[in-house]
Amino acid sequence: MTPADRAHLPLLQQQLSVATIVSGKASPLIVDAALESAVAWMRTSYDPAAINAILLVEPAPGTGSATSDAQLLHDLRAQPISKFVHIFAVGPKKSNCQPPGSDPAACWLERIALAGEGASYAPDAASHFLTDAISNF
Amino acid sequence: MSRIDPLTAFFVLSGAASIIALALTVIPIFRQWRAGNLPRGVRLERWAPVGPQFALALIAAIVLTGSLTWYRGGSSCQTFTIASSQEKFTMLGQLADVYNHAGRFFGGWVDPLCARVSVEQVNSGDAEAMLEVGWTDKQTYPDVWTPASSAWVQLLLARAPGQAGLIPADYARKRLFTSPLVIAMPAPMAAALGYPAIGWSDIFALATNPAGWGAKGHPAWGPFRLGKTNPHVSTSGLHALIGTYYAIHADRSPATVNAAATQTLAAGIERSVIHYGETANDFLRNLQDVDNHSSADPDHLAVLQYVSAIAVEEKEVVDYNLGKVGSTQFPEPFVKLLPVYPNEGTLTADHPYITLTSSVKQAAAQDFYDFLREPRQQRFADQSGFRQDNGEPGPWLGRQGVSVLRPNQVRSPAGNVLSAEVNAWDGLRKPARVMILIDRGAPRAALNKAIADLQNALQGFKPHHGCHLSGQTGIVRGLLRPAADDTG
Repeated sequence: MTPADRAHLPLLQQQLSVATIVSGKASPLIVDAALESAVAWMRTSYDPAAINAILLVEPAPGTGSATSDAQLLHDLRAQPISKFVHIFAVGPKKSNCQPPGSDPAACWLERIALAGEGASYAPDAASHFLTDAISNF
Repeated sequence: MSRIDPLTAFFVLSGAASIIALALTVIPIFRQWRAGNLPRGVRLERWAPVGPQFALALIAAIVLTGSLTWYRGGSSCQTFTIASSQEKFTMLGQLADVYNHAGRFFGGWVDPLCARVSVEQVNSGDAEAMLEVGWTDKQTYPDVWTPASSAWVQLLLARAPGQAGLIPADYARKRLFTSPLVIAMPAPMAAALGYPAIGWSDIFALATNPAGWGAKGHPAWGPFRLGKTNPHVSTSGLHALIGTYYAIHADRSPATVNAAATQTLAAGIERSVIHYGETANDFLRNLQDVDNHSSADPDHLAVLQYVSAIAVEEKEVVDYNLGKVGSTQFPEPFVKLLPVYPNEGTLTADHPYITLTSSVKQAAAQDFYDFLREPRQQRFADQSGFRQDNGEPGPWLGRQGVSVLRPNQVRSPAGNVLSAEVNAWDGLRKPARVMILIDRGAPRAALNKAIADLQNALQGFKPHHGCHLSGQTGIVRGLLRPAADDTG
């Protein structure tokens, strides 16, 4: 890691404040609305010289609302190619999220990542949680 | 070497001995009866000699069988672990299952041994990184490492000379099969670029041309989009990186790799990347999904706009065209991929089979290797899309639209050059601009853990990457892009 890298780390870590993120009470999650607004914001500030992506994190099994409907998936697929925001996802390992036989509700992260032309990661080891996804944008 | 199960052989011998003993007993009596020497009514004293012979034969058979059964129970099979690269993991698992039920024995007749194989999927780059630090997780420490390419071994030896003792000196002699790196292109795009005579230079020229596919008369296809995998993890990514430096004649030394002109050219190529992936499956699965949703469009434009070229192993192109991605079977795609063998030459995944010197199960690992090299297993490898270890396709693969010739070979550079190329990629790869959405509905402990891990993971971000954070409420907390470090 170069000195320039080290210089920006405190700022990154400061922004990732646990207290700030978890201050609100856990409430039913509206993934669709949050994701749609995130995609819209990323598109308005799109940087054509970079990979523009959203990383969706599900820290524990079953915490997602699993409300992703066909319209959301269609909207993700129908993004303009010149301003496409890729969706990556990280969540606990599922037993089987490949068709046929996959459970759409249980595999909502995988379906979103597929529609967003990204990838979903289900690290086996907690120590690798997120690291794989972060390095593969 | 396959041998007859010793216990089965002993069972047969003891059974034969019993039959012979019985025959020796009965035949004289039969002869006496035929000769009319037996009186009417059997007298017990006439049968008296028979009883001990029967008893002796039966006792001998029972003792022998019992002893051998006990002996077999005492010589339980050794279990050894193979860390396999991703693209052959499913196939090796199937072959291991066959091996585990084949009743094979190896070693001597006096001390026969058997083995059971456990195959674990470990991406080649992950395994190399773990070996660099001595593979500290003893639960997953393998006896055999079979990465997709010997290039990973060279990288390991260059980066961690202290671990060289783990690798047997003759590791390069044991190869399972091969698969060359190809540039997979949707068929219409390959045709537009002059298939099959296409080189990395053609790819680079189009990738850096602002007109994109418009320069080839197809503006609707948009810019040239390259799919590449992470060379820290993926063999396709590593081989594509090596191929790039080879094609621009910059692989002679670390100095030529890091020369300003080289870096400018390499960065220009990286700018055409749509995104990176852990494995080629990430791209192929997305491509399959886009293809599947393009059925209403006779031109399947969405497929051509998703990706123009992906650096993958030849085997993965064959699988994709048959509807197979990873271990999942889908319908065959509307738009097939063509394997481009770069004019300049290409790298070959040689799938070495490396029994680590630290393993105490050398004989077991050797027996499984011998099993894999047998004709039946090699036929299975052919039908799974791998070439023979001499680089030529087998009878099945040769009918799948691949080149029947051996592609021109590019040799992997010296370990220090290879290490310089991989390190340079960190600074040259296309920057990422990411917003992170975290599920706030998670239990607090899991949430805290995820965030702590996220903080650690972000250490891999370079200053020229941008990162936003949101707690699922649409809050955008500002672009984390230190102005002073923006030059990256």
